[in-house]
Amino acid sequence: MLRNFYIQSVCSYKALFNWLNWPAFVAVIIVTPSVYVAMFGLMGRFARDEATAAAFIIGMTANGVAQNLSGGVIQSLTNERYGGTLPFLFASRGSRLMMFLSRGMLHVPTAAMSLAACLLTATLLLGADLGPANWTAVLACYAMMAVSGMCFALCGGNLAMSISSFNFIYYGMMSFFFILTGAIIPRSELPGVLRLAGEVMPVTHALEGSRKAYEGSGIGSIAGDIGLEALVALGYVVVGYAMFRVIETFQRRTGAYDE
Amino acid sequence: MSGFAPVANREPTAGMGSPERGSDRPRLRPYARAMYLSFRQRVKEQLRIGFIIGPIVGSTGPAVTLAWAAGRGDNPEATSYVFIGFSLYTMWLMGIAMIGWSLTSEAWAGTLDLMMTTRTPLPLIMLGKALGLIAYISIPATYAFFVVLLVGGRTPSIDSVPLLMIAVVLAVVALVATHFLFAPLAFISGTTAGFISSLMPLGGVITGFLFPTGLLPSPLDVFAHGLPTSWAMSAIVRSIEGGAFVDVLADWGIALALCAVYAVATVALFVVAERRVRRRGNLGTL
Repeated sequence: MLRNFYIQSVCSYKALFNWLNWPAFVAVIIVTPSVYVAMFGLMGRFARDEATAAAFIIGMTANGVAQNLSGGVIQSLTNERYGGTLPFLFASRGSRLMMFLSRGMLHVPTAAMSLAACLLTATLLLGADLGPANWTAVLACYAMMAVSGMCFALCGGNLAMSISSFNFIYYGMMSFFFILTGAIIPRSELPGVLRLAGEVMPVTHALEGSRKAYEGSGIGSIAGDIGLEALVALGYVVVGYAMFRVIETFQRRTGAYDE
Repeated sequence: MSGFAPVANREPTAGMGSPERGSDRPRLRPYARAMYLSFRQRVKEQLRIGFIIGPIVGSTGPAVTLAWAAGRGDNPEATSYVFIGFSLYTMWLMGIAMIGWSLTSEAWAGTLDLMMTTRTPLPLIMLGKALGLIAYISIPATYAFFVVLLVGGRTPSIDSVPLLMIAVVLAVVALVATHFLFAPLAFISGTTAGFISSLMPLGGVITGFLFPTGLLPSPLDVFAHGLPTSWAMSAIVRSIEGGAFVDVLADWGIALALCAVYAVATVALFVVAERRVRRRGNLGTL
């Protein structure tokens, strides 16, 4: 079973991930999130002060982890449809849960590369002081963000399989990440509905934890934030898997794999 | 494409690839008509609801966050930058991708063949299309402008509206000049999607649209000053904040000079691209 899961993860990653060539990989996974960190860090420094710039930098490293990962996962699910492999997927007798989860699994290590690039940019280009950080806790938060980002993207990727618009879904998700997670705008400043929406966004809770961890808090004191993030991730897996099955049922009934 | 055939049919035949041959006067009217039709074709192609909604959705997140970051801060200069600069940044993001890929896309679509058989020079046709794309991109850019106004919570007091309007037009010219360079460049270098993709967000840092390029580390600052956009944006901020007219003029002068350099380089690269395609004989199959 694990072997099957591994094969599906590798094959779907290699076959369905458009950015898996060096120029695109470097540009999208390494350069793009780094540039966003630089852009918001410099904007924070220009418009406000060093403390705000540091807060923006931490926020954008978190977004960098989740955004590009989401792009990769949504792209994989979109390409199942465009590549014509969706009918074969639904015709097979394999575990649907395994199929669903395997489409996102290898994008998690990819997110680690985005994170490394973001942190290098923050320290080398912007001179951010990450000295007091408790790195075990910080990395635990980022790992949880990557997992919840993957679950969120798998859930949203269902839409890409059914309404066929990668750009619309990806850019929509990016806007959610920017506005709702507290990466730049503190959630206390958001209107009530948006603040509530932020509660169920990936990144939000782990980002709060990571801000504490950057100030030196240990893993024990941020366990609550990580737990909440895990809960959000689990919610997206449940909802996403249910959507996956509904889409399969609908497409089987209508025979509409490409409409 | 349909716009080019009438030009060729109505005018007396000159040698292919050298439209002035056999005529003392440059054939400006047919060229202008070909450019206009190229422009119209591209605008019509893009004006679909899906093509408009996607960029609007995509620009909302960065617009809201950057407007909030600048608008709620203590530095009024930051508001001056983001007030206009974010719209220009949105144009950069979309323009670098769409105009940068335009020639390569024509080759993939097989329409480059047709363009090269008309007597209108290829750069003029592609410039018409680039302007069409800029017209389309101005829709999400206008939307972004209003989002920034709404979320930023304050507008800068503009010292000179006429100067600002000229400066904005010049900034758009600078954008077109910069983007257009990448059309033949991407085609010649056979670059993959990643190259252009990395230039998209990089624009937020090096174009000077969102903050002064002086904030950048020295090597990047030097590079940013080689872009006409940074000078054009400097003129915008000066016209908002009441900078000396001489300084605004100097910014415009440098921006226009750089645009001219870019234009010459672009035409040269188009010549290289066209020669390479003709020599290899692989029209549209690169």
